[in-house]
Amino acid sequence: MASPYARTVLQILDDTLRLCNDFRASGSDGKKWSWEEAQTALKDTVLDMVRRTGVLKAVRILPLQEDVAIYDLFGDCIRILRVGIHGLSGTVVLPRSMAEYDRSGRGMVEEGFPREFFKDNIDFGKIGFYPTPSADGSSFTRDSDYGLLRRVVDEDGNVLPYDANLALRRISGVPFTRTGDGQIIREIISPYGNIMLTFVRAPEFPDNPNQYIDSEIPEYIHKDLKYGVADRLLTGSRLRVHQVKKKKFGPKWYGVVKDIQHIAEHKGPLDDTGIPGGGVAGSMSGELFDYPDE
Amino acid sequence: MLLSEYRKDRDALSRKALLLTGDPLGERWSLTRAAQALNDVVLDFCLKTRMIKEEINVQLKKSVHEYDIKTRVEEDGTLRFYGYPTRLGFNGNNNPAMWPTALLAIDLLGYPQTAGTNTHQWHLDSVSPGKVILFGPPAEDGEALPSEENNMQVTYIALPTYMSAGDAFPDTKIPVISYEAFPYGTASRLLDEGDEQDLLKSFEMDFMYRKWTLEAIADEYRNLTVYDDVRPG
Repeated sequence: MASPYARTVLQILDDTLRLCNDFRASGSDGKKWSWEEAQTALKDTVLDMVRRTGVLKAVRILPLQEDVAIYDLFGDCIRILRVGIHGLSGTVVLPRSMAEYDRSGRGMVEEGFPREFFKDNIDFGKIGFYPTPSADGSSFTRDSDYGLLRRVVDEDGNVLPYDANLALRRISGVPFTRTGDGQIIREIISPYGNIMLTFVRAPEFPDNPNQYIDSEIPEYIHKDLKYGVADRLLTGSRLRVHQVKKKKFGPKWYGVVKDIQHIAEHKGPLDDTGIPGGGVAGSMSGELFDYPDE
Repeated sequence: MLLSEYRKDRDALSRKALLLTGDPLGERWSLTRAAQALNDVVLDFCLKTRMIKEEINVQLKKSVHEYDIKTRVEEDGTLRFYGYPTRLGFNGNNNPAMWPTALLAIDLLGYPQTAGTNTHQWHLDSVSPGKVILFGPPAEDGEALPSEENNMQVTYIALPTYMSAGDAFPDTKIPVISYEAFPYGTASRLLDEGDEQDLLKSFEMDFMYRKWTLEAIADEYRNLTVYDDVRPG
């Protein structure tokens, strides 16, 4: 449910073209900038804002395969924030550079569960793990007719015992028959042996201009997106008024970007005392999203 | 005379903004457009000053570490829209508040994220705005709402109530003495759409709006009493 402060793409672009002195009619091309150019500028503005602030995050499982050290990152991954193994109850996989391995003067032949990951010396959009996985991670599916049976629950929510030694665990090609009102099979995700990746993700952008941008971007900054978009459009104009406007809108937008980062990481008054060296101004988490000084 | 008698409604504030833009008759900007800019300014003001706080009681579930507070607030229907959290309480006033932490701090200490049996810390590092992560996850289900027992009380900065009608007043949690800021901010946003002369005026209006915003912060948080000067820090 959108708050009354939310703006659709159409509304944001109308407001933008007004700022650029190029508004003709709602949803129409301006005289100087087309609707498509404005829409592209909005997409670029939102993507840039997310990249700078790290405001949109996702946690996803990356399945490991035996003897495969290098994997493709998810297509919407902008920046890795944390790598872990075995899910929430597992441990962190720490970053390391290839130079550190090379300086150690040893071959990279160890196999087992990954303890470290590296990104240098491999293609962009990929991630490597060391030691190289010695086994496939557990298979994972959600509420499937097939796969590893984890729980059987009756209609009152009681977990029923079952003999895990029976062939119930994996019956290739034979679906389970669900009967009754209870949840016969539920939740069989297994992150064990797989990588849990936390990353800054790319924003969703609707094709329909009457819809909103990514729902996880707080609606309270929708009102200011027009300044970021206008700043981009006005860059190409030689008119004096546009250059003066750019001088105002650029800093205003980057102020908003800084605010959203501040707000997204803010945890209240205790934040200043809860973590050594903590607080919004210099929190350890804040350093993950360090914002360049203007 | 009561402070409430100084209140101005949406149309009155919008008209004042139009007066500041040099367009008192609304020939360049309609009252509707001024009202929209006014709502934007009130929102901006409330987030900058952290003026409006709300609290929601969220039922905890065993072993569930991620909670979507924004959606819970929207589902409640009686609370103002969610901005961002400032305090997480646990078990009402019977337990100390949960402490904010960072994912990095947990990792550096070598804990898995499921460590601990009590929910006593929280962080935002691995989730998008609107959600919080508890460390560690609850050891048992909380009591059914509205009980606070073993549940989480989230205090958050809220968005102000939107002024949809012309005779609507700014959110009741905004002090009347802060109304002065709104026409300046509104005028600044409207003048941004104009020519060079408008823009110069917009800079001036923006300055005035910021000045009033800072004064509101000072009024609200610092200059509480004459004893402020003797308080440590």
